[in-house]
Amino acid sequence: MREPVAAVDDDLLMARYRAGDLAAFECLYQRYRGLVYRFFLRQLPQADAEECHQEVWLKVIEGADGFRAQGQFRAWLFTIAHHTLTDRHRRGMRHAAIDPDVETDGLADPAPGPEADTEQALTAARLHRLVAALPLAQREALLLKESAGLSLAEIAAVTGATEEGVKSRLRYAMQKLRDALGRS
Amino acid sequence: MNKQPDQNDDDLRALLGADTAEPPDTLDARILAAARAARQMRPAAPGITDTHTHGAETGSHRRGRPWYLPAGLGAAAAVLLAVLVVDRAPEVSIGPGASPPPPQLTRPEAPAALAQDAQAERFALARERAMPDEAAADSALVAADPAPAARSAPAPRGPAAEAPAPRGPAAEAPAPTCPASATPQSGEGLLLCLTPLHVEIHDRSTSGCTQPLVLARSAGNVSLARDGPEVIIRVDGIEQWRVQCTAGAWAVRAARP
Repeated sequence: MREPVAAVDDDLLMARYRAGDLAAFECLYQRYRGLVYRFFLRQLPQADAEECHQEVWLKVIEGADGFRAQGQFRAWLFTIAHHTLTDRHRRGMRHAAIDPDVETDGLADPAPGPEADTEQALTAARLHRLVAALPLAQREALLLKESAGLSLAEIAAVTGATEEGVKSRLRYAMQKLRDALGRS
Repeated sequence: MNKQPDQNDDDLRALLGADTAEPPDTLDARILAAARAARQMRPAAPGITDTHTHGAETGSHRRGRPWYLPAGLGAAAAVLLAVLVVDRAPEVSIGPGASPPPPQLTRPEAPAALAQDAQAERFALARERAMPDEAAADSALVAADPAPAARSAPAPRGPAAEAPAPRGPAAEAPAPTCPASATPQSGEGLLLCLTPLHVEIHDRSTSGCTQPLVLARSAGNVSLARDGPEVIIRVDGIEQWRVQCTAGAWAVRAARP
């Protein structure tokens, strides 16, 4: 008797997908699609973010047979995302330094909702521009921690940094955001 | 502004965590289609059963290559035929033994998503920007393009791009062209539209395959050669696929790694 896929952990879902269970992949995808997408969307123009998002999931599909479960699917997934992002920057694809005081072309603001006119939505939009303007390492650490919910150890594994290094990046990132928002 | 730093940090974290942007439905559909195609074209991994446990699956990573990389060229080719399989499943046979009809997905909304006509959105994501190395590699191909005007056509974007392509006799008349985001290359009766990640193959004969074939590719110079009824597609001189348009449907054979 199979468990419902929604109750199954990531590694087992990957194993089921390898065994041909597409619903398992769909469940995994539903769990992480937003996290992966936003990881890119806050760092790249939307078109690039969509391409990177697709690239990551195609790599997951390709790599399913080689994946070895160790309770680290999320770290594995974001390691792929990290490499995809790094490759994208290395190829110099369109992403230039972003001036947080200037309306950024192509970088998506949060989807407008009913509260679009509220102060909070405006603050969020400004925050996302400020995040996009952080140095890559700080920005990535911040998004992995606060948006994707990875632990320090996972971020360290994903980015190849030490946990202390990750802490430092997070500290600097938060400080910069605090300062920038405090000035506005 | 009298908040303590910790309170400020909490506010920032709340804002960051409240981000709800999600990928577009078309992107979801494409990825799920790729996942389905990959499973259909590969046998289930041996030894994985319903009683599978972490212990059975846990093991050291294979040596000699990064653990996040694809398992093999064959798998990559199989997976990235997704768009082809989704859009043109009734028209295509893959390999010597054609795949069985795709099973229905278990979620009710999934088949509808996968059934979308992706004719107009084929390149919505593959609209790769020209990269320096790609541009250099493909420069010769551009020079050989017999229909340069086609490149000036705008790539499908926005709501208009979502509309299904026209079908029927009127739709068959125009010669195949490439989206502006792709680099065209012609040869052996085919028109290839190259992006860094994909190659879209059009049959230039009027009585051949009316629908293009979309395959994933690795970076490198693409070349064509005919071998009997088949056209061999090579990337950097290495054979990747053999394609053939037979009775209006594409047949594809991926090279064995």
